[in-house]
Amino acid sequence: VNPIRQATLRLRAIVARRALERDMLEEMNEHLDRATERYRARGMSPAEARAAAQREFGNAAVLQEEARDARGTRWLGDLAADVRFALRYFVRHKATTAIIVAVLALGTGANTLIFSILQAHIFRSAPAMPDDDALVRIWSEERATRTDDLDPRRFAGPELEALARQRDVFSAVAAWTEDEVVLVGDSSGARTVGAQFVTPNFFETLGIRLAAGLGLREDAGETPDLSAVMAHALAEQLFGSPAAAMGQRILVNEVPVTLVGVAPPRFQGALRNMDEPALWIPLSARADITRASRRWLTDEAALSLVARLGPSVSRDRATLFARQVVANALPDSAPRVGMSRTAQVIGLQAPPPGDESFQVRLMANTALAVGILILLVACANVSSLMVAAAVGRKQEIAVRLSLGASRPRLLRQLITESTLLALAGGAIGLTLAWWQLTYMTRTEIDGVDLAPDLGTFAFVLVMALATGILFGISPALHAVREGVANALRRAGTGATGRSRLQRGFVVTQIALSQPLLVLLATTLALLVADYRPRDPAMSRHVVSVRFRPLRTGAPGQGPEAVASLIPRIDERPDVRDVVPDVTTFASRTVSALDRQAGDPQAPTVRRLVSMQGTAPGWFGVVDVPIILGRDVSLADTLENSTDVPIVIGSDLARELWGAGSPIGRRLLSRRNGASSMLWITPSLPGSGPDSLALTVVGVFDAARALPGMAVDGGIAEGATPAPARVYTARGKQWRQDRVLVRTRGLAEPLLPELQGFVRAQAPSLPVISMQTLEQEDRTDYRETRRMVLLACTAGGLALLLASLGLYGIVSLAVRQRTREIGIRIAVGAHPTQLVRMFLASGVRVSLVAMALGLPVSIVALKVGLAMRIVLAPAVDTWLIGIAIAAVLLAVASLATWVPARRASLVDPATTLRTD
Amino acid sequence: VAKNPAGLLQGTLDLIVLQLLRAEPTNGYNLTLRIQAVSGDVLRVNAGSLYPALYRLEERGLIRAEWQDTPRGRRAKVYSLTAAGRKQLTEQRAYWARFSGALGAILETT
Repeated sequence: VNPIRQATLRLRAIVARRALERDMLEEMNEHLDRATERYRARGMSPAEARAAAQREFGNAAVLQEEARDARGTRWLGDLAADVRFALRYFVRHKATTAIIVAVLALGTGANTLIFSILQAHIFRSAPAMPDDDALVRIWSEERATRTDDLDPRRFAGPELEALARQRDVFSAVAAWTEDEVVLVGDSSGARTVGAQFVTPNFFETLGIRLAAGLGLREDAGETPDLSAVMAHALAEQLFGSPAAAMGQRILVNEVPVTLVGVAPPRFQGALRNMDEPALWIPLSARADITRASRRWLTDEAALSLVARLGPSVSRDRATLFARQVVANALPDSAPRVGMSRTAQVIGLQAPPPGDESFQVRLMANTALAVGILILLVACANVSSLMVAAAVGRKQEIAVRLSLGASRPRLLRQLITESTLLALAGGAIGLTLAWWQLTYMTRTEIDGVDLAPDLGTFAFVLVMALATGILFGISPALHAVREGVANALRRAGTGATGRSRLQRGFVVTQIALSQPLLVLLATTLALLVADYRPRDPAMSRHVVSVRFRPLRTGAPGQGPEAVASLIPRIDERPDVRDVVPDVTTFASRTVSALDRQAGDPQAPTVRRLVSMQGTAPGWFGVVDVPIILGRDVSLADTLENSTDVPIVIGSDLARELWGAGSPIGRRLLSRRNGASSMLWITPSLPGSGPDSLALTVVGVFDAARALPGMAVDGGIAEGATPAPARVYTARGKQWRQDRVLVRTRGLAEPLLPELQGFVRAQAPSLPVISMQTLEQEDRTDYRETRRMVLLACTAGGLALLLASLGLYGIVSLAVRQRTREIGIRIAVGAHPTQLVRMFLASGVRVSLVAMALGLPVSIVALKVGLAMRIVLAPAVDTWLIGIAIAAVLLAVASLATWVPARRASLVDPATTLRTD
Repeated sequence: VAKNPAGLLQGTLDLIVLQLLRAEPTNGYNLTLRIQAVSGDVLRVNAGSLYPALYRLEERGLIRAEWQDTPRGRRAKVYSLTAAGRKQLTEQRAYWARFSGALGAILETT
C-alpha cells in the first residue's frame, strides 16, 4: 500500500473529520431509507418498515463508533473527549489541581534555571563571540620536576612568534594578557577597570566587527601604540554613543590614550570573563601603562592565546605543532631536571584539561543531579497526590468500566489528565524561568550571557512531559487495577495495599530536606548574628571612603596616595578627624602569664585573640572611649621594643584579670597553627614569631565596642568563645583602602562636597564608594533582609514539598480506609480518636525520616564547616538540628492533620450502606 | 445459516466485498443485498460489519468511494475497485483456491 496515499487519507481523516462524519451519516441514512422502502414494498406500515430496517441495521451508534475505528480517527475524538473530561475534572478539583500544577511548575522552573545557567557557563560561546569551529585556544601546562603535577601556564612572546610564524597551521594567532587599570574618562572621576592588552590582530582573528572605529593599528611594531578599543556599555556611559567616543582622549593609569574603536555590545573578550574588561589596548603599550619592565613580553609568560586554524588543519595536528613549539622554547638545562612543558589545542568553549575541567564536570554533574532530584521530588509528590485522587475516583471508574469502557481507554483518560497537568505545570515553570532569566540578563548578574535558550527549554519541556506521563501511569494503573465487580462493590470502602514506594519517597524527601534546612538555618542565624547596626549617634557623623589603590599604577594611584590624602582631608574645617579603618591581620592564641604569676592556683588561661591593625585616633572617630591607659600611638608603630603594645576590651580585661588593673600586663602568644597564616609582620626584635609578648597599654569600653567590620569566620565549636579583638598600631597594619572621616556636623549633607574634594585632590585615585556608616548599615540591613527572605523562601519550599508528600499519603490512607473508619465509628470510636490514629501514622513516617535525616544533616553541616562552604555563628549545631526537627515535626503534623481530619467526617451510614 | 458476522471466516468479508465490487461498482445497501442473494441466503452481512469493512478497505487504498446521483434522484456512495484492490483480489483468490482445495482434500480422507 502506498504510504503517501495512506498518509493523505490519515491527514484527511484528521483535517476533514466533520465532513467525513457527515458523509458517513448520510450514507447510513441512505441505507436505512432503502431498507425501509424494501419493507414497505412488502406491505408494512411506514413505522413498522422503519423499525424493521433499523433492527436489521443494528445499533447505529455502535456501528458509527466501529466505522470511526476503521477510519482510524477515533483516537482524535477520544482525545478531545478526554481533554474535555479532564478539564471538567480539574475545574471540580481546583485545589488539588492548583497544588499539582504549582509543584510541577516549581520543579520544571528550577530545572530550566539550573540547566540554562549551566549551559550559559559551560557550553555557550562568550557573549558577542561568533560560533566558529576554526577558532581554538592554545593551552599549555608545565611541571618543574618529573614528579610534580602539571600546572597551567601562559605563553611568552617568543612562543607567540614561533606559533604565528607557521601560517599553514594557524592562519592567525592572537594573544592577550589582563591587568587592572585606573581609567579617567571624564569629570566623573577615576575608576578601576579591567584591561586586556592584546595583539593588534586580536579583533580580526576573533572575527569581531567593532561597533565603531577602525580598531588597533597593525603596523605599530615595537613603538608603544597608545590607543584603545573601549567596551560598548562604557563608551555609551561616558560619551553617549560609540561614534562619539572615537578619537577621545582618556587617561589610563595617568597615561593619555586615544580611543580608536568600540567593541560590539556585551563583548567581554575571547572567553567568558567575570571581570568584564572595559579596554583593549595594544601589547606594546603595556610597559608604559602598568609600569612593567620593557622586556616583560620576553621575560614573563603572561599571554593567553587564541588562534584560527588554517584550512583543513585538524586540532590534533595543531596540537602536535604547538607541543613542538613550547618544548623547544625551553632553556637547554631544563629538561635534565625533568622540567617539561606541553600544549594542547582545544575549542574556545571547552573547559581546559586538568583540575579545572574536573571541577567543571563535577559542577555540571552536581547541578544535573540536583535538577533531576528536584524534578523527581516534584513528580513523586504529584504522583502521591494523584494516587490519592485516583482512589477517590474508584467509584467513578468502576461505573465507567461497567458501562463498557475498556481498561486501556480509561488508562488513556487518566494519562491524558497527567499529561495535561505536566503541560500546564511545565508551561508555567518555563514562563517563570524565562522571566527570571531575562531579568538576570537585563541586570547582568555576573556578566554571563543568560539569554534563554530554546534548546534548553525544549529539553526541559520534553523532560517534564516524560516524567509527568511516567508518574501519571502509576496512579492510573492503581485506579483501574481492580475488576469491575470488585471495584463497584468496594468503591469508596475497601482497602488496597498501601504504596510502599510512595512511603519511601516521602521518607527520603523529608530526610533530604533536613540537611538543606539545617544549612539554611545556619546561614540565617549567621546573617542575623552578623547584622548589628552601629550607634546612629556615631554612624551619622562618620563617612567611610573606600578606595581601590593600584600597585601597578601611577604614583598617584597607589596606597601611598591614600595615606597622603588623609592629612589633606583632615585640614578641612568641617572634618574633625580622619583615620584609616581597622582590619584583622592575625589571630593568635595567647596565655595570660601575669595571672598565673599573681595567683599560682589559677590554671593557665589560653585565649584566642584576633589582632586588629589600628591607627591612632580610630577609637575617637568611632566613639569608643578609652577607659584606662591610652590609645594606640604613632610611637607604637615603630618596631623598637620586644613587646607589642595593645589596647584590649574591658570584657577581656575582666575575664583575664578580674578587678585588677590590666595596664602593663602581658599576654604571651604562640603561633596558632593555621590561623597565624595571616601574620604579616615577621620582624619583631628579640622574639621570633613563635613567642610574642603583647603588653596591654589601654582598655576600651567594651559595652560601646564596635561590631567587627568583617566576619572573622566566627566558627566556634562547643564552649570555645569567639576570638577577642586586641588592637595595635605595630607595623601599621591598618587598612590602606578604607578611610573613616569624622565630620563636625551630620555627615550625609557633606558627601557631595567631600566627593568633589577627594576628586580634586587625587584625580586618578579610584574611589569605589563614599557613604556614611549609617548608609552602609542601611544597605547592610537591606541585604540581610533580602538574604533572610531568600533563605526563608528556599526553606519554605523545601518544607512545602515535604509536607505535600506527607499530605498525599495520609489522605490516600484515609480514603482507602473509609470503610474501616465507618465501622470504627459505628462501634463507638470517637472521631478524635480516629484523627489521632491517622495523625500518629503520618507523624511516624516523619519521625522515621527525621531519624535518618538528622545525622545526615549534622554530618553535612560539619563537612560544610570544615570545607568553609558555610560559616556558622557560635551556636551549637545540635541545637539547630533539634530546632529544625521541631519545625519539621510541626509542619508534618499539620500536613497530616488536614487529611486526617477528614476521617472524623466519615458518615458510617453512608460507608456501610453499600454492603 | 451464518447470520452472525463473527461466523464469517476472518478475512472472507474483505474478499467477498472485493469480488462483488469487481463485478460492478455499487453502494453499501446493494452490497448487503447482493451478498445475501449470491450466497443463496447462506451469508447475511449486517451493516454493522459491512461499513467498517468498507472504510477499512478504503483506508488501505483497495477500493475508492464516490458520491453519485441515483436514477431516483438521490445521492448514493458508490464503491469501486482500485488497481491495488484488483491485485489484492487476485492474490486472495489464489490463496483461497489453494486453501479450500487443501481443506477439501483433508475432509475427503477418513
